Amino acid sequence: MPEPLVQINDLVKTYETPAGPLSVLQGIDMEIGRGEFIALVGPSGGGKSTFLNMLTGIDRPTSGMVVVDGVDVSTTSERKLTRWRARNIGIVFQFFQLLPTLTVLENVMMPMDFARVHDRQERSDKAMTLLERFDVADQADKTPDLLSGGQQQRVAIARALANDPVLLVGDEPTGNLDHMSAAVVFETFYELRDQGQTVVIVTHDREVVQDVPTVLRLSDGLVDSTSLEAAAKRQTREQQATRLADL
Amino acid sequence: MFRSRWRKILRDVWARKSRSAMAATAIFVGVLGVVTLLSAGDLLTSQLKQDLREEDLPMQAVFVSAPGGADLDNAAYLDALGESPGVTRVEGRAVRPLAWKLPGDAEFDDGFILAAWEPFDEITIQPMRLSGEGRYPSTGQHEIAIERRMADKHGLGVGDQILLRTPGGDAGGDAWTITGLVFMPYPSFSAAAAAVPSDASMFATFEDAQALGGFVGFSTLYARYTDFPTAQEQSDSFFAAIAQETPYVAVYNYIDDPAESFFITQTAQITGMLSMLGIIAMVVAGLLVVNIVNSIVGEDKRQIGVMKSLGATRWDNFVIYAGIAITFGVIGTVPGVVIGSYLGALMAQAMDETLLTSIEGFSLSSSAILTGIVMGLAIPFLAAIVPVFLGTRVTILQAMTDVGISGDYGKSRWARAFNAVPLPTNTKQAVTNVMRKKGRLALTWLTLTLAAASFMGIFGMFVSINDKIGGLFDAFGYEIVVVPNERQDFEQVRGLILAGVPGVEAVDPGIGLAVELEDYVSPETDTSQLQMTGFDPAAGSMELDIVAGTAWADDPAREGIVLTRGVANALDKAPGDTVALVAQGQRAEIEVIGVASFAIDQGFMEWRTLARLVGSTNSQGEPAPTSMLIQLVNPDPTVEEVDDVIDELDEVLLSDGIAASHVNQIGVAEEIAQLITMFGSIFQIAAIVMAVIGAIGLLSTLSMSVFERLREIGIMRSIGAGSVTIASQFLTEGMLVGMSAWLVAVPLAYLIAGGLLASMEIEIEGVGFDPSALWIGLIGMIVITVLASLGPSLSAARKTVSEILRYQ
Repeated sequence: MPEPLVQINDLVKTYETPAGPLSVLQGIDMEIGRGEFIALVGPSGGGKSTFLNMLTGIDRPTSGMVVVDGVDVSTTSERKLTRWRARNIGIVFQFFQLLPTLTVLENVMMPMDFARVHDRQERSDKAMTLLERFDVADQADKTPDLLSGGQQQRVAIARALANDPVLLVGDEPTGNLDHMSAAVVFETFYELRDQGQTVVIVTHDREVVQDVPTVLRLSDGLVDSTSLEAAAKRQTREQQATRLADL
Repeated sequence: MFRSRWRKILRDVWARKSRSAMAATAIFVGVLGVVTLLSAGDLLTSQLKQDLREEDLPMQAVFVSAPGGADLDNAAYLDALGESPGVTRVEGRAVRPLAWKLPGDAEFDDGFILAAWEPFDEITIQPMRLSGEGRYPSTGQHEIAIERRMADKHGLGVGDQILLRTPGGDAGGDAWTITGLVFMPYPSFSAAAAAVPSDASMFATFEDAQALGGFVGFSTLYARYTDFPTAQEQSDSFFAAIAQETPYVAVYNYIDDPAESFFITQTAQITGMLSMLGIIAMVVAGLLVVNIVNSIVGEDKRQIGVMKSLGATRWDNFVIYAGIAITFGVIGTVPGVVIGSYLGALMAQAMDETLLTSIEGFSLSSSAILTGIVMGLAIPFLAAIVPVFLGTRVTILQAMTDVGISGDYGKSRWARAFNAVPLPTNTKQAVTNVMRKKGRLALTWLTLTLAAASFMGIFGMFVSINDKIGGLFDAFGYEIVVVPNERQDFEQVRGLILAGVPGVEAVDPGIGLAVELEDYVSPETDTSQLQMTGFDPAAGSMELDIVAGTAWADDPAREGIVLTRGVANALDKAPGDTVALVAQGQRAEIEVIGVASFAIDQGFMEWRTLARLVGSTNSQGEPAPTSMLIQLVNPDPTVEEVDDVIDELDEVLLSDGIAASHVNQIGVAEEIAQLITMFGSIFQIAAIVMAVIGAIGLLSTLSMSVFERLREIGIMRSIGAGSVTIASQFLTEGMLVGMSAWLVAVPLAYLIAGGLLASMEIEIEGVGFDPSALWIGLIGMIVITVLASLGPSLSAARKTVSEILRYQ
């Protein structure tokens, strides 16, 4: 297991509803290592999106602890979380969520603006580099509505990586794409993983995650233990293979 | 960083072109109104303050009627009046009509000669000033000075000659040389109580003016006192002194505190009121901005969440969305200030003659510009604070999760009660939808209510004023009033006119002056002076609407007074009671013989009775009228036809050596109607602006409603709702808002009309609020709400199930 980036202890999230308390996460314990690529799968209402919200500090747990890169996001103030999120987390949404009145380049520059990093020229240069990396540089001056779904999602990934986050999360990042585009987006995630980026995605589409090294099943508010074991075995195999290769 | 935010702000403003245009237009109209009206007011009052010097203004002005043919010792009269208690200075002035023309012109123009008893350089009360060129005229040299505006209008200068028509003189006119151009900042009034136009004012020495105008006496006496309270206290003793020490008859007077000149305060009051309307329009524009920003923030909820997820703080979002509001402000303010400044200057120039001043050249009001800029930027910003503050409070979770309408919706007591009402489902849905967004609804509703109330209040008030003023003129059975410069033998003049002027049906005697009525306080002047009209009840010159008593029905020569209803009510007098009048220092008790319905407080008497009371007699001591009331053969003449008769009348009288002032009653009625229409139009424009802003607000609210309920529309469509059903729901919503706003606006309209009447100090009997305004307001409201609802309704009706639900 690589050095853990994320540590989750006894994570519980319960919503109060007119019909009574609804427990969406029921005591999850897990660790995510640096450079890992994890896919969370499971049925609708299984708590996948809630889990991601806990991970990114968008929502707070009812109990338990979430520590990301040494920061306890479950107790940090909202103001600090905003700054922390700007520099440490990249989020990719299902519906891309690009700002429609800004150009593709400006969309990618925006997180750097908010994080107040780099000067204007550096932001622009870095945004262009990211767009080139994801093969959408030729669309830089267009507004998002002129791009295909796959292109928009690649721009969204570029935007999510603008501040070199330690953790990239995707909430159904291919849920609004056709298979071809979805495959391209996952290729991008694999490349990122290969470059050492930690990636966590949630999806209900098992087909697209068949090549993801670690696939966890989230059901009824708990991570399926068999999937955790399988993940551990798979990781061990990969580490052994790596050591053998090194020899 | 700042540049990125501004890029988003500008792109968002551009992306929502129609809504941005609405907000910017509303701000533009508000700023335009504020700057135009404030500029005009500021320029006019500044000019008046600059022109009217406190130390030059009289504290009391008494308009007098001079006896005809008398040998007057004006110097002695002024000396005697100067001895009156508290008086520090008395000056005599004559303002008389004088026909003039340029050499070569065929016809004479109407003009006025203004002359002071004192030499030009010794005049201390309301002095004229040499306007750079020439000198004052000298006596006996056929020299005259003219007002600079008359010179400008006719291209005249020093050394030019004009022809003046003197009573009994050459019908072609005598040549007089212009020696100087004069600026006369103070208003002057003719014997017929009309303001003398500056561009027809000529000045001569008193002796020359007497020859030119065919008079010997003064038309106005000005007095200054040790202080203004003394002037108020000693006003009556000055009147008594005029009666005892001079042969003049005091016709009317006014007392005015030079430190708070009526002319300045009146102008400030009128323009201030107009400015208030401008500011209200601006505030209403702010309400629209609240609505639009609210809708933008609502629409952009998800974008706000995305930006927060990218690291934007609440402040970052606040700057962006408040920046959008400020951008609306900038877009509306810049043209509003530029055009408003220009229109304000034009408006000041257009109103200067009415408000008895003169604005020359193009001037800017820095205070109006500053106010416009501050309001244009501050109001949208302030209007945006709350919606932006609330809108940007949204968390990423709330922004990215659509939880729909809260689960307890429809469980309130109101909802349960309403559900029990047997209404069509579609109507019920419209009503409940209206109640969903109460904050936004309240703003739109408030805007519409204010607009409807202002429109109906203003409209109702002006319809009522027009109606009453029209009724007032209906009481006059004559078309022309002739006021000879000095009292003449009535029968002789009547004979002259009837014989020499075609189109004249009758010439009747008349007296118009003010007397003191004990226990009466004039609502307009706060004094006990009451305007009296003496006429011949046997003739048709007055057609009073007698509502109590018999007046002169049985005896046209009956002595007694007819009071207007307002005066009778104020004094609690009825026919058979007596009232005490003080005229020329003499007190007399007069029986009230009737009460008349008449718009303005007045008293009416048989003319001989009044003439004897006020001492208006001829050299034989017999009653002499101060004016002649002329009825024309044509029962419904135009202003121009009456003017033609006046020209012939003037010629006949001047040929016989009689100079006189004339009043074209039809012209006066038309001028008053135009004045009312002008002020009414300004108020109406302000009200209509508010109505338009209200309509835009409703349009914006309903558009937001369509946007927010896309899913609901899609679901309704998917279960069979047709376009008409969908459209009618939004139309019903708009109508509900509009009709409820109208209902509340009805009592408010009455209050606004009352408030405006009180602030304008309009005291006309029966003037209040014409209810027809309510129905016009209702029709207007229906039109506005239908128009404002139509766009969103059609937009909602056009949505297809697939395009709505595809991305939900």
